[in-house]
Amino acid sequence: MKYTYFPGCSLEVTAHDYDSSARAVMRALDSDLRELPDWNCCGATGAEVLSYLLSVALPARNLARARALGDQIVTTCSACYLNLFRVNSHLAQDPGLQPRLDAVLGEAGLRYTGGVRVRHLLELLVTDIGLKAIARRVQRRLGGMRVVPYYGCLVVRPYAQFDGPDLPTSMDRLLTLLGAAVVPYPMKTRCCGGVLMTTQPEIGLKLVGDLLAPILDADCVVTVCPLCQLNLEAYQRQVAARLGRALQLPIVYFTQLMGLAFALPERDLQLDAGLVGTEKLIRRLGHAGAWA
Amino acid sequence: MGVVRRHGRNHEPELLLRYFLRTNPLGLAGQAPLGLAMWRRKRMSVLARDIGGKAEVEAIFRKSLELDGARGAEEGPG
Repeated sequence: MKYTYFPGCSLEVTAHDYDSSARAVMRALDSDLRELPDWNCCGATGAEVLSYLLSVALPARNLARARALGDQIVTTCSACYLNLFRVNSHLAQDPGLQPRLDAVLGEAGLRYTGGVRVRHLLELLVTDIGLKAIARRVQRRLGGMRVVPYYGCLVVRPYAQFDGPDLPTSMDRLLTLLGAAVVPYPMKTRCCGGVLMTTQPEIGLKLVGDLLAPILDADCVVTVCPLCQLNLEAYQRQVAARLGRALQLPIVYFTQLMGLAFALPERDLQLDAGLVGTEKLIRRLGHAGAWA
Repeated sequence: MGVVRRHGRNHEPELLLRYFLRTNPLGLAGQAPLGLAMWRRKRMSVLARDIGGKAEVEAIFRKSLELDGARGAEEGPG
């Protein structure tokens, strides 16, 4: 099966490990992520500050281009997922939006009236490809690795399309299937601070500290979002100073752990891209020899 | 959003550079260790790449801002 894939800006560079592992995992499951040609930024969090119409039209350009390739688009970034999904939702709810969007996209020679289903890769894996097919591909179970599933806000709110908005379980089930020991984590959809880590670092550090403090003895945190990954990983030194505790907690993507269980090579998983080393994690699994 | 308007995609180093130069130039020094660590792991690129359809993106910016009566409709990517 082939899927039109929207990587989003973060996955080009900052989260290239997410991009690489996502593509590799899908290949291993006999599926293919075909990158949408010449995609543009989805508008991130900044577009709506400038103009509501811009925040709809930027992701709509991608959907219009995806429409020519099929009836769905898959993304890995939670913010991209939300922005793309929101276009369909707002077009369906507000009849006055279509002519305004036509006027904007018409300037680019495009039109979008809905019809492209927006999926997050986690949703696609759990619902379409299915846990049974994933289980068949597992070659080395994760040996009871204590993992904390962290979903962040945007993948399940405000559009709880494939999981619960407060206590989702889809990634928990996936990780259990891989052989991991999932740590119960009631804060799994609390905000990581998003861009506040840059604009209001005191608030951002407080939020990340609140998230990490209860799980310091876990083996790793597993995320579905590149900004969550960066916020939880990049400021651990500052958070450790606030907590008065040592903190070296790897923050990995769910696709990297899937690839680990599938015995995919490091060149695909790129666990060495993490700012917090994952060597201890790999050693604990007894997989070190496979990473040459 | 000026970075997106110029290139069609976001380029995080340019975004952060412009943000700190505008709001807190001294804060840039505090970001250097993180930037270096990211660069070592190939998680930061120095130069932004333009998409092929950046003229389309500029047209979308211009018309959206015009219809919403927002500032910047005529400014161009600059």
